[in-house]
Amino acid sequence: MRPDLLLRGLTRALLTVAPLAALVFSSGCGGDEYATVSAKARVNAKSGSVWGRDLANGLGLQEWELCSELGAYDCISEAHRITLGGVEPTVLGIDEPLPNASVSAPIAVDRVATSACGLRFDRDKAGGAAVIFGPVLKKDNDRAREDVADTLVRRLLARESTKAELESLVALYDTLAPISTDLTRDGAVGMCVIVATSTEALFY
Amino acid sequence: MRANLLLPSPRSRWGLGGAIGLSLVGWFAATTGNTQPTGPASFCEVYPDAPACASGEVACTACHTTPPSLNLYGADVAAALLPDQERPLSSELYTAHLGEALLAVESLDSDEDGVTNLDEILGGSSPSDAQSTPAPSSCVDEEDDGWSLCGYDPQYAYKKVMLDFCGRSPTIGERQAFAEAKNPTSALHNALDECLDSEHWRGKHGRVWNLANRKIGPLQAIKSGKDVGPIPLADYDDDYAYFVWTQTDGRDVRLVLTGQTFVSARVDGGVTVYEEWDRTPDEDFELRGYDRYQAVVKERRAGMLTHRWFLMSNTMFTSVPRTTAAQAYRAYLGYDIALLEGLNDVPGEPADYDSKGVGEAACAACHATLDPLTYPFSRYEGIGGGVGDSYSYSANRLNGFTDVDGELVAETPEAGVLFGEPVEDLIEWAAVAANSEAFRRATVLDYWKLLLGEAPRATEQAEFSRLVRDLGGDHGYSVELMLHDLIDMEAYGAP
Repeated sequence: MRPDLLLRGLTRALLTVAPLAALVFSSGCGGDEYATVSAKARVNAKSGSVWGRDLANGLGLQEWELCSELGAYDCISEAHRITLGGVEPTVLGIDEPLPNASVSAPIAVDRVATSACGLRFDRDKAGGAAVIFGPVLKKDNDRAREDVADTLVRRLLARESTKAELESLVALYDTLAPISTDLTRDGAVGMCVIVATSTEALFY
Repeated sequence: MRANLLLPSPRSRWGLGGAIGLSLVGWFAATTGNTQPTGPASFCEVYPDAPACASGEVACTACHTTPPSLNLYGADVAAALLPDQERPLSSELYTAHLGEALLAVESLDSDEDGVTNLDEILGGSSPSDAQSTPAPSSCVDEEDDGWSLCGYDPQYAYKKVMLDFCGRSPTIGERQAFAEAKNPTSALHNALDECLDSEHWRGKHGRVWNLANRKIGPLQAIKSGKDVGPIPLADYDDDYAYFVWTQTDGRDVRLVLTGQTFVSARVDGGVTVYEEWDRTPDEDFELRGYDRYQAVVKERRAGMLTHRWFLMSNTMFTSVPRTTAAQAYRAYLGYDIALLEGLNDVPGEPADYDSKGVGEAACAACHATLDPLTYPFSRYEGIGGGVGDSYSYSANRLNGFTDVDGELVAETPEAGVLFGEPVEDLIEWAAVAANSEAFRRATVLDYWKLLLGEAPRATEQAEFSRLVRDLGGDHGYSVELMLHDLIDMEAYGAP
């Protein structure tokens, strides 16, 4: 299948299911109905470089490998630098991060996460010691998918997963099944993108 | 205690007595052109128990969006202030009746969020922001989710320290190790010490480096040295390196205004190394060449205020370099004169030595402060126009401007006034500035906003004020010691 069509299909599928999974990850404790409320409600966004570093550490990649636009411009330090909360004082005169996320910020985040998660999957599939996706590459069943989901939460969010989170992530496969021609890859990368772009991964 | 209100208070906790003694011109700029921003202090004399008054003065934003524009609450106060009286009000009328106006709008709900203005003021929220309401008086945290929402949470603070200062999340193993630490406070401060040495925090283009962006105002097109621009005039790398150096390794942060050496930054094996250096202008010229050398002799140096880039980009070709002084006032002392902040009229000013017409009433409101603030900068050469080498100190510099700005410009004194205190020259100016409460406040505020994403909330004023006080006391002007205190505060460590 052509990569662009695959990406389009995956994106469409994620658009369908991501909001459901996002509900689970927005509270970090099993769904909105369980969300605890902070009296301070002070939330900072990770800058692109910090989020990218966490993503690279979690996926076992180098920061410069995460994503590159046109194969030439690093997504975080160059192409989407300002969009992802960076500064560029010497040429653009942007001395501080934008006070509010731009409309393209979610797109940039999705691009970086999709690229990085895809790269991790392809590396794991290529052989050697798999970092994250080994279980589904060995035998793609519910148990393996849950193992991968658990690893993703542990590595990308640095905490134990909850049952609700694992069920929600694995449910992604049900939505993808009718439209995917490579369910193992689409499901695994999709779970990874959902965790990597969750509220908990992007803010602190 | 509430003082000198013309109306008796129905609430015994405020009482009466004393005298406000206010010079309330300027809080509402419509009253007079001779501004004097004492309104915030008067507000706190009326509401001494308000959290926003913990430091003695409420922020201008209690009543203004950007002064003199009023916010919702300020507009209600203004409407209640002698409504039948013709505008602009005299300062005397304004002074005498402000208290009545504040009382008159207490029961209103200016921002229509369901909480009266009085309850918002006393509860520590903004009466002009519908999104801001007093915090619940009691905190309930029944969820077993690993976070303590009702107060300082060491686990949360640890994660935040790692992200803020190290630039990465702790791993699950590190979090578990922290959770099992016998002394979490010690573990937290050890983590901070480690992260204060990270490239993310103190490296080239790191967080401290970027904290200087607004102070330096870099522009690559006119940069000299590395990454030279098409019109190389000065190298702001000197400024960035010096700034980071003053903020790190426990150094006295006042050096940013008073130091007389320079600092270079080089990256060695992925680590930025800062090295202090001291050369005469001639020596630096020989070593680094015309486009980069620092031209001020040592005894006339005042930290970043006399760096080549600062003089080039602010003084440029002007005789009385008001832009330079205004930028110093804004960047290092936190007062933006364009926003009517930090005005302290000096009698007899502005003298208008350079014949710019600043004595006009509309201009004098600011220039009575700005011009005497500027005189000590007037002997430092900009790009051109004076009598000496560019960016150097020339005692008779203003003689070079008489053909453009008139004969009187040569009589501009070098002595000036900062915060009402006479200073002989820029060296004294910098010393007064560096030892001021304003400098400590601006320094702490920079880091507060960097780490918490916003200025202190009303309920956090007490913690903020303590940091400001202690920076000049227990912290010995060390930013790093101040940060150790900051991460222990509820403002930082409560999720």
